Amino acid sequence: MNNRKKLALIVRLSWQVCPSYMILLLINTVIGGGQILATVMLPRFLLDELAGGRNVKRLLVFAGCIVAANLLFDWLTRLTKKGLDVRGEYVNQKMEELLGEKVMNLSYTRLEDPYYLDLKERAAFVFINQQAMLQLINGAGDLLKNGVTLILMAVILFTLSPVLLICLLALVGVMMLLQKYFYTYQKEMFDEVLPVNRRYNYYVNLTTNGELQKDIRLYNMAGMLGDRVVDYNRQIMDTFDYFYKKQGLYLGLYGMINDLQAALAYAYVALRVMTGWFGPSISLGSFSMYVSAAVQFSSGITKFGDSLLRTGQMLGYLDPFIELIRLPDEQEQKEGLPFEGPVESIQFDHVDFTYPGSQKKALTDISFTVNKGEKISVVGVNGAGKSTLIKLLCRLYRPDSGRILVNGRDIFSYEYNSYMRQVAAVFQDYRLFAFTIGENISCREKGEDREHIIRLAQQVGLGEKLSSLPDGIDTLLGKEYDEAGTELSGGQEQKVAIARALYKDASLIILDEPTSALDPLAEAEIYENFHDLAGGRTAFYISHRMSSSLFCDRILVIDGGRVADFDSHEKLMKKDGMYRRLFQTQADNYAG
Amino acid sequence: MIRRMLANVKRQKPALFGVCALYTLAAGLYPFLAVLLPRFMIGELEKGSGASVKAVVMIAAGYFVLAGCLGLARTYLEKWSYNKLSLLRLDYLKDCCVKIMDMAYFHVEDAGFMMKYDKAFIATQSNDNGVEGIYHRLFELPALILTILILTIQIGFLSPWVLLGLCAGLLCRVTASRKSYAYRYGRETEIAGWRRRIQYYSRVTSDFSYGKDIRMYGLKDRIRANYDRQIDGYRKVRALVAGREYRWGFLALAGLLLGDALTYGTLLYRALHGMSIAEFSMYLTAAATLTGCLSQAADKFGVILGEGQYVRALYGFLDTDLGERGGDHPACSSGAPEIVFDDVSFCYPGSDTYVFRHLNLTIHAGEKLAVVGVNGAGKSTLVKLLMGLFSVTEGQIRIDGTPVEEYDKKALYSMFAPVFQEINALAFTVRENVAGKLTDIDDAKVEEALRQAGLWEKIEGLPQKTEQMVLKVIDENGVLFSGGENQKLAIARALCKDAPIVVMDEPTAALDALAEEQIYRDFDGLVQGKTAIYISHRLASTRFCDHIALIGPDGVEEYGTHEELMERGGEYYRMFTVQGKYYRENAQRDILEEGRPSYE
Repeated sequence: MNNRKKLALIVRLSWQVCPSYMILLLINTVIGGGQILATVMLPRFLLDELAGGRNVKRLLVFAGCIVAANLLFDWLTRLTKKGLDVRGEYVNQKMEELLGEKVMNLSYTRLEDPYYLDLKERAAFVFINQQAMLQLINGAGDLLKNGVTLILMAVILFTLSPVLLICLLALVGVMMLLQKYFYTYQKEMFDEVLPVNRRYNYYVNLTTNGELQKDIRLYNMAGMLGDRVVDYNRQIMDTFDYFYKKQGLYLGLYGMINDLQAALAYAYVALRVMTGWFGPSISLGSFSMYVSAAVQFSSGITKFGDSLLRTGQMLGYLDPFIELIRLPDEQEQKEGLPFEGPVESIQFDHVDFTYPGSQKKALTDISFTVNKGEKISVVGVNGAGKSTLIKLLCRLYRPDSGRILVNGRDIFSYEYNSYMRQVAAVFQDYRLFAFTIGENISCREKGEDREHIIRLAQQVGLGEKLSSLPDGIDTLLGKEYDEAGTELSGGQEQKVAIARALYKDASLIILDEPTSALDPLAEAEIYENFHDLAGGRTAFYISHRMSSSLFCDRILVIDGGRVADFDSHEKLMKKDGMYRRLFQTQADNYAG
Repeated sequence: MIRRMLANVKRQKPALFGVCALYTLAAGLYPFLAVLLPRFMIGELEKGSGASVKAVVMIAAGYFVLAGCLGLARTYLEKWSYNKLSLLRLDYLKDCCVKIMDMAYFHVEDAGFMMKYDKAFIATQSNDNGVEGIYHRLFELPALILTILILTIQIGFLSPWVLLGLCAGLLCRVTASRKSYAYRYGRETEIAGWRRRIQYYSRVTSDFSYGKDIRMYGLKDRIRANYDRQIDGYRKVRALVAGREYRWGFLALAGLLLGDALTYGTLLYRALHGMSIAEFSMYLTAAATLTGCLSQAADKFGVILGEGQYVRALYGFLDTDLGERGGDHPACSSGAPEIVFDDVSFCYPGSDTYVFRHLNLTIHAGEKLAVVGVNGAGKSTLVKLLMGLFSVTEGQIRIDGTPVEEYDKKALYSMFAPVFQEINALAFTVRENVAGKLTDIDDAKVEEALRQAGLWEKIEGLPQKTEQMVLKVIDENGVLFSGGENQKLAIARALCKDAPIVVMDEPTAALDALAEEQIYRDFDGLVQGKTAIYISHRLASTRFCDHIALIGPDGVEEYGTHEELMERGGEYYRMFTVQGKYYRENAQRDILEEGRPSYE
């Protein structure tokens, strides 16, 4: 995608977010143009009057006009600035929100693909590094304004002498060549230095990362991290040292050409006053106007070049953002049958699955059937594919081949929302949000069914904690969002997550390692209440605590991505298989 | 503060002073040329028919040569030093990082710490603020002052009134911007609050790890609506600030009017009384240039004043003793030291709830101790105290007879090989991760450690073996370990460190039964001839320890061997039975028949 298209995309997005911002930018451009025109043209009348009639009243009027114009434009600039500043930040924040919204809308498949994780990190960089997005948005306005100035000045100069304009433009040509050369260099240099800069940032952040501080101290890693930071620092600085020297030379030459333009313009316009060699001679006032137009023209060129350069640079930063924004949203899965529920049966029919970007199959030929109300324990060693199975059932991924049938139909043939309403899950790496505890459980705004929330919270063993909080279920979770919030321990958070799954009132409930952060007593409480908690729902339960299987009707044993066994605890204990091995290993610890 | 900043330049890069002097000369004189050019040009033109073409060409050429050279020098020198000034900032940033990695650990867990030193960290964050912001301004100011001096003298000689007008105008502008800044500053907390909440939603929406729950619980619209509300809230506050700034702008406008009126009035008066048009227009340009320079200088002073508070905070942070050194006792020499907790009570800094009180515990040399207790009993806290990450509130902890505080911090840390609950693999190579350093790595030792931890097979299968990068942040071919493998990597690291005290804090929470068993078995090898502490919810782990300490709010509540504690029938017995009962032979029948098994 070339720069023009990228800029057009950003302009279009900004327009959608805040049209008034774009309109203000245009108005601002008009004001800027007017201001320059006034500065260039008004003094002419004053000087001509001084050189000629010297009428005091007229002189005062002309001077008054200049002062008034100064005042007017200064005021107008302040007026638009008031609107622009606020809206500029607003657009920037909205763009950042757009990024987050995009991530929420992406198909989940991409979210576990390292490529997209990296892409997202790079995309978010434009909001952190030099506020590239904000600079770009404002820079685009500057570009427009300087462009208008240039055209206005060119028109004025043209009325005096096309030849002078052509001379100046020829010099502009030289500048453009310089600029093109430098721009190419700069782009290469930034392409090279950006990844290094990202790495540098990674290591700098490690040194201040709170979670690492124990490791850093006890494994004496300060030296290792410090060295890496200094290394990258030196690398970046060497590159930049060279870059800035080159930029200094380039901008210096650029400035010299500007001075040359000014000198040329002065000499030419002076000769126009003195002689008739190049055309009809002009007045002193006109002299000042044309000279000032030429000076504005050449400084306008510099500013224009500058904002062009900066916009180009910022657009370069923007590539990952644009790539991300242009990814397709997950298809609105509106089509399909509405799923009426409840879940009567679940059938995996020869399901194969491979993670995107991976060579190895995560699941191979998985087939099993679960009936309504059954409690199924899913068991296997780390990496066997237990959580993958669950993710497929939650429609986070599609199988490569085979089908997953619920109530006899492929789950992907159901309308998405109606299907998801019937599924509730506590994932291994579940997340809670900075809402109140109650809202975290109900996932809705306040005022919903408080009794029910409180009852559930008590059932999962949160009652004691809640009564110790002055605001009970209205306590805000986490301090990151609001300092008045409360931090819960890992075990308590896990309980909130379980209550959230139960509140959803789905007919299928999935618990993936829901007790890993709980102590034996709390864990036992969850196990023993499991039947009550799950009620008549169909349930999947994943745990490394083999004892939890006892509370389930049947056990699905997964080994190396395949179904190794599917039977009751008693029967499996009689077989010499994976399950008995796992169970016995743990049981031995409690023997005697 | 400024003096200290300059002293820093003198130490790091004294050449900058010379460069700044040259820059001052070039940049200070450059604007003057633009003032003089019209004067000479119009002066020549005013001669009417006596004007000479040669003179005009000479003036233009002279201008080009002078301006070209000064301009080039100015730009080049400014850019040359720009990066050198950035480097000064990055050095300070590095100092901050080192300070954070060295300071006493308890600051890390103090939620207020980052807030307290917030400003110090901001001081090194960007090119345009804090340290570097001030350095750039300090570099540019002398040139501005030179220009201002020359122009002031020039205009002052002509008419003090013009000067007065310009100064009054400047005063108005500065007042207006200070006032609106003060208004903004007064709302800073509120603005920061909105910003933080926006930041939160930006993170939650774009953090992939929230993706599953957002989809599962249909939270998208809810979050989106909240996010919008925060952005709108911020916008409203910003609009208030901008509105205030705009209103104060009228004062600035009045100043502008005053300055312009006095300048034009005086100059017109003079022009009517004999001043040449050349001089008239020169003074107009001079007045405009002076106005520009004055407000630039005011801006720069403003930035130095405003950013100064951040730099002062930075120096404050760097100068504060944050307990990085500890005592000066060297590391203990024994291979398996004795550890004594002597009547230890502890509450976290800033809290007055005791985690435990009067904890007495002796871990004999070479002994393996299991520490158990319910969630929140203070098991992890106990080892944090031992490792000197926190200091006891009352009582004393001694290692081989020497109180923990008396050890040099580095020496103290060197005595432990811990494996923590949360495992953090870093984007370094496998061997660097295991060895914890970049140079002088003993590869044989790394390999041995990886073998013992049961990770060697996996590492051998990697294309670059131990040279393989971990994580994909830095190297896209980096290896991503599973939870269990990460755990093994952490164990290998502990093995490689070969320290006299081994601490395992809940290392098997995420592991399957077989991997867990493996770790239990390896534990023996890991701690051979060392003093060891093992913390776990899995009471089975106590089996291979010599003693078990059950801790709670009243310190060590039960202590003894597994058999002793089971016999005693206390809290340990209860926890062990609860966890173990389901592994009994008839457990499931009990559950199915009676709904739930009974115990006690």
